[in-house]
Amino acid sequence: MRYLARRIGFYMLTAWAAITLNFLIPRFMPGNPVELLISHFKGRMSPAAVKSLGALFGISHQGMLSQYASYWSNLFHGNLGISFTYFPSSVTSIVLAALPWTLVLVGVATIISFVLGTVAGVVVGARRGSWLDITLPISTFFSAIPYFWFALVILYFLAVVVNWFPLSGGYGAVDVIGWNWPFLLSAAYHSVLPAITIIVTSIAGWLLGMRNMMVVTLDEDYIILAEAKGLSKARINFLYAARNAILPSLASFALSLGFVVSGAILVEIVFSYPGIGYVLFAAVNNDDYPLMQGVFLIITLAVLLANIVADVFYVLLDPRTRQGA
Amino acid sequence: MENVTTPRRRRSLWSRLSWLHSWKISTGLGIVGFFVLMAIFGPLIARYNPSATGNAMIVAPSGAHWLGTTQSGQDVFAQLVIGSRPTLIVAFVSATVATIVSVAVGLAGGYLGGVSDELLSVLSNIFLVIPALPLVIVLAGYLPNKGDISVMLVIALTGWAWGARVIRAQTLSIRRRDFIEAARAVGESTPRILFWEILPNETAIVTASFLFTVIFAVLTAAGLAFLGLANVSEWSWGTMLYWAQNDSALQSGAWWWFVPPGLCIALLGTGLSMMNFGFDEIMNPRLRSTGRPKTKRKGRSPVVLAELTRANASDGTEFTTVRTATSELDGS
Amino acid sequence: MTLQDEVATPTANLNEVVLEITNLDVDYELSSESLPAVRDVSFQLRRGQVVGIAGESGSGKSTLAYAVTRLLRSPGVITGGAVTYHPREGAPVDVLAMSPDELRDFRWDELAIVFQSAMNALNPVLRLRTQILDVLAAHRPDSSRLEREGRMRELLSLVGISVDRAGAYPHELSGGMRQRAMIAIALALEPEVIILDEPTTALDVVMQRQILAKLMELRDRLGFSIIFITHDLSLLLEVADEIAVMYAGRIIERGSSNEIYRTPRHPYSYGLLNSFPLLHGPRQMLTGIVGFPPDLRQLPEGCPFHPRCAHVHEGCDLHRPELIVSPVVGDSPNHVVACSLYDGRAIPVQLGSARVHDELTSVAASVDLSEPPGDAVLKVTELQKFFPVHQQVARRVRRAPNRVVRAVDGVSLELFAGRVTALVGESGSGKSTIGRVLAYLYRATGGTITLDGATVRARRGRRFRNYVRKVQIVLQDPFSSLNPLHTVGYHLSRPLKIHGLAHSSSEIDERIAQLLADVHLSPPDQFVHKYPHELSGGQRQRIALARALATRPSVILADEPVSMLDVSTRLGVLNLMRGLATERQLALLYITHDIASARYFADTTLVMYAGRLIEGGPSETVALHPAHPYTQLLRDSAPNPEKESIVTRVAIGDPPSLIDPPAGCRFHPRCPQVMDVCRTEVPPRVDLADGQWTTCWLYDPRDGSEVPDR
Repeated sequence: MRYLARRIGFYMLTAWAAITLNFLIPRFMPGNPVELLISHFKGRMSPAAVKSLGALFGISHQGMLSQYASYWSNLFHGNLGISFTYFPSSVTSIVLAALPWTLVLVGVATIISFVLGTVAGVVVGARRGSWLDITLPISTFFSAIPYFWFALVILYFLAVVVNWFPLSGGYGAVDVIGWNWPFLLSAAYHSVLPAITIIVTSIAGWLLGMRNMMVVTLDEDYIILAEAKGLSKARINFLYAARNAILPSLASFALSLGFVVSGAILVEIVFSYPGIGYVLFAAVNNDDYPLMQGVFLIITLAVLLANIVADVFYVLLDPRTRQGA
Repeated sequence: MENVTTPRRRRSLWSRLSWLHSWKISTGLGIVGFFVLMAIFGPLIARYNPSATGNAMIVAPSGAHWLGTTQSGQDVFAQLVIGSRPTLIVAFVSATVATIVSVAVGLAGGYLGGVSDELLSVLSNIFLVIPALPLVIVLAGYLPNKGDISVMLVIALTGWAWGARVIRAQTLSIRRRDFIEAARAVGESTPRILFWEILPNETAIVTASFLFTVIFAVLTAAGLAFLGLANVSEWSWGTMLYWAQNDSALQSGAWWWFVPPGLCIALLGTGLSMMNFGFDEIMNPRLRSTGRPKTKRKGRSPVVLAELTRANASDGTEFTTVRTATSELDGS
Repeated sequence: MTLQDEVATPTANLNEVVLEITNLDVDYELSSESLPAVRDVSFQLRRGQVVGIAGESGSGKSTLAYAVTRLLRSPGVITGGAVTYHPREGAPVDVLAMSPDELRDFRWDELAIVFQSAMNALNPVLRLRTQILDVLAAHRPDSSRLEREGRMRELLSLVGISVDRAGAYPHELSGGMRQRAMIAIALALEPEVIILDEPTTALDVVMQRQILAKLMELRDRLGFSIIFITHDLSLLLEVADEIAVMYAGRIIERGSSNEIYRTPRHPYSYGLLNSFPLLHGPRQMLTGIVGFPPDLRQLPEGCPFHPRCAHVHEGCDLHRPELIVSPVVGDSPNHVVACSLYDGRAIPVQLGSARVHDELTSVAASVDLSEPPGDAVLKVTELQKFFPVHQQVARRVRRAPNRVVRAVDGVSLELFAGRVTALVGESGSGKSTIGRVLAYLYRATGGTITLDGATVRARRGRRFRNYVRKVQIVLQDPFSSLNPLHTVGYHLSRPLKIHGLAHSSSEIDERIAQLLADVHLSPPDQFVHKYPHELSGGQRQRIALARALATRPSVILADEPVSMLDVSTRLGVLNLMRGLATERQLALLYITHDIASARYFADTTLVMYAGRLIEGGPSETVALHPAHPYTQLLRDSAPNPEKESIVTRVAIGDPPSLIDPPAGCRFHPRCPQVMDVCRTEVPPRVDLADGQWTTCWLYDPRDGSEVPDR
């Protein structure tokens, strides 16, 4: 478990780095647009709100260190400031409202794409040299497609031209958000196109990575031995080859997830999907710096959590990481 | 052995260029070259001023407008051709800057080791794990002017980590090879070892990291422009998509407006990826799609040879020797 | 056959053929050309017999193994011949004609294979038990889980792995254990034939001996037959009943192991037998074979061996001799050879019995050891080198005591001009670390290094530069010790330029030519512009030697300089180094794992175990009459064709961890003669007769006499 402890330690360090980065950016970027905004909203905000925004964005005459301390104390109280776009809602409440949409959409789509892509990679890799190799140039093309562009294209064909799916949004106008069937069905219906977009554009990366690892693994001595031992093809391909080939795939999950999340943000914008990405878009359009930074922080923390989950799987699959428990 | 008396200089040049003969690399190079030519000679073939408005609004592709027009009657083809230059400049410049950082960090960390290496690799791992686009958006959001230079800097700042990590790993592995120890033993200086002994052996991995970063930069820059976080008054494939989205190209059914720029991005990315896969296969001949190599060639890149001989030396079984020997024969 | 079926009949009929290989051809089918990997190979394996296949790289010996098991992968293709298997009952079967299903039954039920590197051949993510059980499950689907578990336990105890290690993953096992596990897997279904492909090459001598002893014991007990493939002819002489020597894809000689050893007929076999020093018999000059094994792409016309042959004569470059029964009177009809010395085209020459050279004095013996060697050139006192174990941040914060690997722990030695000192030890003993510390590639943790009476303290300044110039190192792996991107000329010019030993470019060229001539690579212009990949291993190692010589050093540290080379080319490099040491009065430190080559090559031998020197003295004495039980173990583990049985005294366990080395004598946990004092007290150095010394409690520290009984 030392491996896992080390990984978690690293993620905590990364979380600290991201938070500190968030603290530093407004203080070191040229000019401070937040100051302007605050003066804009001066009359409409409580003095306490102005003070906490000051602490978050460095409009203060305190020294850096005490600013840093009050920044952390704000964070621990869940205070990320006030959104200007959705004034006077707090950033935390907006982000928390949008987060479930993104978690479900991106989470489910990523898992489907990872599983499908990996299995396809195993099959294509195991049959190197067969007709299945035509998936390679196709995958290469798909892995280079900008997510948001594919979103536009699929939206155009399936929503504008044939009108099978809704053009935008996360649920129908008449639905009441909550645990009721009409809403859930409508939400599922609305998420089909964004999910397809994320799956189609990210699956190629998993496929190519897994295929290459399979090809390399299939040349290992232990595969030749397994073959000599008279094991069945399926057992060799899955228990011997894929079991080993998937490890690097999992190890590079962090890198790939960053890409998927980045792409998914833009996909949400195209579909006006009520998730975190769309909130970010609104924030960007309205120069809503508190909201922008809140979103950045939340996305980063979510990605870190997902990475911890991936690492747990890694530890379960690779006995070598369990040494010296 | 005795009768290998081919002219040496030519042979080494030939083996240095042998990678050109991988179909993946040459096809990729062809695609990328096409867009580079478009960027250079764009103004000559555009036929229209991309910003000039006209009366023919939302017109489908025709002889007059090869790719139709926008909502304000601008020529899409002109925008596409003119827009290729800023797109490529932003991508290549930011990737170059990022790669320089990668090489510096990777070489220094991998060779020097110790505390500085640990700090550098923690730093690059942090940058790898933090999702790039949200960070880029926040950074770009704060930028007072959203010109190309700031966009390039922001992309370089977020795009160097992957390259630094692979170059560090490669440096670590080369540092352990005996020829580095041998160079130290005869008294070579550290800079000389870094730049004459190690770096030339990393050509392939540096190239791969550069190409990868170019793809990252193209996609990120397009994403930023699409969000309006770039200079939207300048034509690039990203800003074309921004205007298409803002002016409801989708609702008006103007597929010719938003399809071409994205397709170009995807094609450019495909070209770059293909080059990358080609290099991957040179570095690791086993990745080739056919079990039996088909290309016919004698020379091979020295980098690959290092890989092969290392594989050869480390397990020494005759079977692998022959395996590598055959791939060596056929080049990659 | 049930799982419990252990009733083997070891002494069936020794003349009954189990496996028959007839005129087998294997090609590497590349797009551009087809390479003859194996040609016209025929031999028979009889029940209970061990057939050895000996050959160097490119000889096709491993390809043969893969072809016989039908495991050959692209681009290897069997293009001709037959492999026939004779089951105990029923008609012979053609292995090459088997369908995939038949093949699956045949493999492992009748024929199993053990690969060289057990680390690579075991699946890293599966437990050992799983990897044994899945063979049983695949081939004995009707057996119950309990039966299979029982069989698995039985197999583990058969190869000497304790049953509670069954749940271990491969990385948790030591190298020797992994190789045993491989053997257990091979034995799972009690096959008739086991193919061993370099089964012990990756292991240390002592471990190699244990594994071989185990294998032969099992063979006697279970009665399977073995095809033993190795580059190490000396091993085969001990274990094989019959030996086939392969060269460039063909068998060039085949006969009983005794005949191959006593009366080899092919000049190649003869040369091979003269390529490795042994521990018995007089110390004598060995010549090896000139040149290098051929490249399959450019096989010589006629007899493939003729460019390297000492008996080459007219016609050898035209006619490839067929394999015929040796016509020499007294040779058995089973002794076949492919050489035109015997096919009537030439007058037969007496090759002589392998090791009965005329009284050639060893090159090593040419130095008069009774003469005092003068002052030491390089003097090392109490040298220590500890490597930090990778520390976690948490431990560092807690300021836990630093954990270190004590790779070298208090070693003192002296090197003398014109003398060769051997440093013998297993892998992990710290011997290579000493070389690297002395070359200043690693910083010493403690101790002093004195060159010509001057101690180097800083890693800069004139004195240090002088040290770097004077002390040069030749590293083990010729395939990685030259930068693949630079030419031979570049490699040799660098030391000259760095140390200002040549100024004008003509002077540099002149020096390079001279250096190449010194290492017997001529004419120089054929090598100067070549890249390392255009050279063979032996040539590369000569370049590495020339680079070391370029600075006109007084000390050369040679770290296993020949262990990665083909057997036939090793002697050439060793003899060259020996000659240079004598001629130029170089002090040479020869680091090796092979005590026999130390005896051959060095004047003085030092033995290292777990970071410390445990014995030293004149090479002949140390190798033949070792005092320390560990050195005795090394001696007994060295190949010896004249030995009756390969089973020797067995040391228990593996070399110790150097993070937490055993207290007292570091060898005590494995020592067959361990006493109480060994567990607590570090033995002092005891001087014995004739300059021999050791650190062992078996000898009285006062006068070196053996301690009577404990």
